[in-house]
Amino acid sequence: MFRSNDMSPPTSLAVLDIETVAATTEDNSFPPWPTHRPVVASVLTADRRRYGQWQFELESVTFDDGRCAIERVSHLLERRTVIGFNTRGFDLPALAVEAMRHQHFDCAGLSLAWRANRYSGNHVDLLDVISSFGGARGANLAMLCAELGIPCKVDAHGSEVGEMMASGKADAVARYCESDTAATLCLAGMVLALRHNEPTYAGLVSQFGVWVRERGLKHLAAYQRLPSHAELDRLSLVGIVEEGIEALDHRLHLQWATNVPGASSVTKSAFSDIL
Amino acid sequence: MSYPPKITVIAPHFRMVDDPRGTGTHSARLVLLEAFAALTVLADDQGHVHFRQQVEIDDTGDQSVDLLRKLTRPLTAETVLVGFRLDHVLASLMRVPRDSEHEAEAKNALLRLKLALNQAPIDAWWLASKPFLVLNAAAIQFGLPARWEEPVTVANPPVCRATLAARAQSMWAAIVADRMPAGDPRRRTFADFDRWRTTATQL
Repeated sequence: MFRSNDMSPPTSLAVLDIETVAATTEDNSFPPWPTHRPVVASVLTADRRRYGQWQFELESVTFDDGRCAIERVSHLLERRTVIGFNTRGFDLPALAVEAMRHQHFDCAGLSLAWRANRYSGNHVDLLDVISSFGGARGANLAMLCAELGIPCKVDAHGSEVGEMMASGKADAVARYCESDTAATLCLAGMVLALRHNEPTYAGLVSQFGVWVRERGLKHLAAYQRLPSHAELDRLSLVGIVEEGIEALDHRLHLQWATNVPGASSVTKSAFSDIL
Repeated sequence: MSYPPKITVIAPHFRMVDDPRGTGTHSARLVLLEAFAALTVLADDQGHVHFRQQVEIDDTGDQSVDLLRKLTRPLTAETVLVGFRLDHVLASLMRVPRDSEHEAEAKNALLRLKLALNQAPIDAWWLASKPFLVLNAAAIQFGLPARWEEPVTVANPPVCRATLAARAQSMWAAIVADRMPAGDPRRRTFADFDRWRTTATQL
């Protein structure tokens, strides 16, 4: 029996995107996925801290040493919900094949995300979720982002990665991969807010913009302020206040339940007929 | 984006806390509110604006609940919150001390704060890539002291009050300049502001 963890949205995310190279096919079609070799993987982590505040980190791993790279990517995915766009159909299987190429079988983070079924909470493929698990086909990341005012694939395209790598522009590929994870994170904030009916979750996008500005990440500058920033900023602040109220409520109930030393005199008087 | 009829501009001052990881620096996120200036600006039907300013300093050292209550007093569902790094302001307000005598009051204050977030807030931090320049320039334009880079300390309450008040006023001026293009007849609010400031100074 499949069990879905749909009740609350994830609070520890690892947004994954990889760039690959593959030998071209005779008819110039997209090469079969097992033939793709990862060259860069970017992981953007977002961990929810107290009072609705998110903490972000971004790391790109190059596959000069495939075994080390797989180990590092797997470590970054560990204990987090892996989020991606078409990761079930491409990124995770391609990483799994790369791990097996290097006879590296001890990578718990990658393994858990790769084997997670499409309804589980360990891995959320946004393409699956947004298309109702294949019910509405034909969308891609750029198309969805354009509709939602999220900048996406402005500097490069996945089809140019081979050329860029051949001309020694590995840094540019990493920056492109990072911008894709940023777009995916923004999309995830909106999709998961709607999916879990938790509007303040979309405040994640606003906080990511603040982090980009604080870090001075010029290649992600477009994500500082989305066109819908006013509402996203508001939701972010409402999220902070709601968590504060929830924490206070929790403490007030604890005091009521246990009458701990030092408990609020206001509370005591409010419940004096019961205590 | 239009200029809102009721805004409350908050200029906060925080007590910095040592980084819990023992790096010898201040924590970027863990900040505690120690003082604030709140400038409430209300536009009436005739197009005039009315100002009310309060500056509060926590001189008890136990921070938060009292300040939180005072800060949220003028807020209503129509208020547009304006501030500098509002995310830090709000996160610091959530850190109400444990076992406080006034937690129930604090909850009411937070509910009032949430009510004010019905309107989209404005963070002056986003006005420019170097917001201090913009805010200092707005202050100078209106004959206010440019006090955004001056250190604030509650050990000297008169200076602390004057600095935070000037910051709140310059933030308001910068928001008006941002939201009302030159030539907008509503810019006569600046005349009301000058009149109010002269009276307030005389008092």
